[in-house]
Amino acid sequence: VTLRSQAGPLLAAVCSGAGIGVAVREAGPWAIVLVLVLTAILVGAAQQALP
Amino acid sequence: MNAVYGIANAGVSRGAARWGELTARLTLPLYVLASAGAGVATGAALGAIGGAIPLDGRIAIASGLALAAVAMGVAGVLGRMTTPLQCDRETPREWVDRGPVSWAVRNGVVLGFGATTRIGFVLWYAVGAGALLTGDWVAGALIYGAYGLTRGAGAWVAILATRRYPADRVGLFAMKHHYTALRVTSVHLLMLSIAMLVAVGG
Repeated sequence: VTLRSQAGPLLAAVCSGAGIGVAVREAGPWAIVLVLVLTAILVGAAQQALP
Repeated sequence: MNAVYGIANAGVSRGAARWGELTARLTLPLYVLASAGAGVATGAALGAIGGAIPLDGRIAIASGLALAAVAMGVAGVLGRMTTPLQCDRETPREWVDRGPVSWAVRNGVVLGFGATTRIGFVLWYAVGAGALLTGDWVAGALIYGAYGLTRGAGAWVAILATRRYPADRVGLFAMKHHYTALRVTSVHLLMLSIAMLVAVGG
């Protein structure tokens, strides 16, 4: 796995992160809570795949 | 799958014979409720503690953590996964011998809290850090409660799946997707940390 081969996912993550950041900043503090709630759901779901 | 084992065996344990079939059937809902409840309680406590930290301090901590998370997220996307600091252990299988109610509550609480079990993903720390740094007990309860509910409800999904597929196959399906989960959580960690830097640090 090289930086070049992962440029797509990296760029997508950085751009969408920046977009979400701007949206959250405009929407207010409860938008941060919403993002963190969705993150918590993702973590809980991902942990079902723990070996 | 440890939870599935516990739920599947709750009906045949010594305790189940004493408490009856109805109690054994309540194992799964109790387990999910305990997991969600533990998450809500932990998140509320973290949020309340975070409320004691001045806003400037919380923003500074969040920015510092987000910068570190960017580095770990990039490394994760590039296949260099950071092993999180963790206890790396499952809940004891012997708990199932203590009866369905005891098993459901103990196991649910421990998994809903999460910190004393196998964590597996660096992104897990965002749940606790997020609950703490919001500085609000309601927000903390919502964030950590969502984690506890999802972690507990995963067993429900697995139990439903075992009605259609063999239990071994369900377990293997989950474990075979571990690397995918690592990749997804790494991308999400990078995205979340950039979002936090833009939202609170910019």
